[in-house]
Amino acid sequence: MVTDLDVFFSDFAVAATLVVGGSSTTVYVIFSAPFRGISPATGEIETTAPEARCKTSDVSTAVHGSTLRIAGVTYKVIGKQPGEDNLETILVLSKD
Amino acid sequence: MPTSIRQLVVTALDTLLKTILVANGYNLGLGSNVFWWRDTPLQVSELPGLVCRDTNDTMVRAIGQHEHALTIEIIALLESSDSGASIRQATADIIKAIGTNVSPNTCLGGYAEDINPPDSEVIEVEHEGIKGYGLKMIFQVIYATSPFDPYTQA
Repeated sequence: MVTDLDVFFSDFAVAATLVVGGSSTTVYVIFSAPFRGISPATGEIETTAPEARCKTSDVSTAVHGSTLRIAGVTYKVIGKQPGEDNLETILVLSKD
Repeated sequence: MPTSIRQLVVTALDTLLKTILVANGYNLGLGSNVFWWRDTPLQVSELPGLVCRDTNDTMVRAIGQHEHALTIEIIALLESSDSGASIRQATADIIKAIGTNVSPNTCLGGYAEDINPPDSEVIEVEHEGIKGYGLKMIFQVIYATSPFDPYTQA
């Protein structure tokens, strides 16, 4: 199963730099940023909901406030969601 | 075609809100992006911004005139990574701007009698790809017209 996951990430993932407490490591992530409208007090702002699917073993140290740099853009980790099988973790990201 | 006093009041308020600029001594440049009845989302490039609506105009009879209380809803939208300081500054900026224009005879270009202080305020934050703050403030502009003549100031 882990071998399958490795193949999946080697085919579809991109390299990113994860920084946790000043230490940086290269991890491979599947990045997406679909449209998301946010509606503070009923005035809507057009934005995205960026997230990175990662191998859990690569990002076990990541916490809220860690940063992930993908394609020249630095995101802050604002959520860490285990996948259904615990082999994958979804890092929820924000530019702020 | 004549212009209603309500329209003149809103136009004057729009002009006033557009003075909320850092260059004029305010904290934020909310006046750079002022929209009335905006029905599509703001882009991040349009933040900070204001979405304004004149949602209700209540009229009561007075001696020889109709007294109007025009409800104005202002929504300030901004992006900030802080813990609420910016949206508090936005609140202060809007109140300050309104307060510069409440003198009798000159209120909103002379078309209004007074602006009541905001009687309702809601602040909200939502964090996705950005951290977006919203402030909804509601207040009323008082003006008068001749009875059943919205085009003539009383």
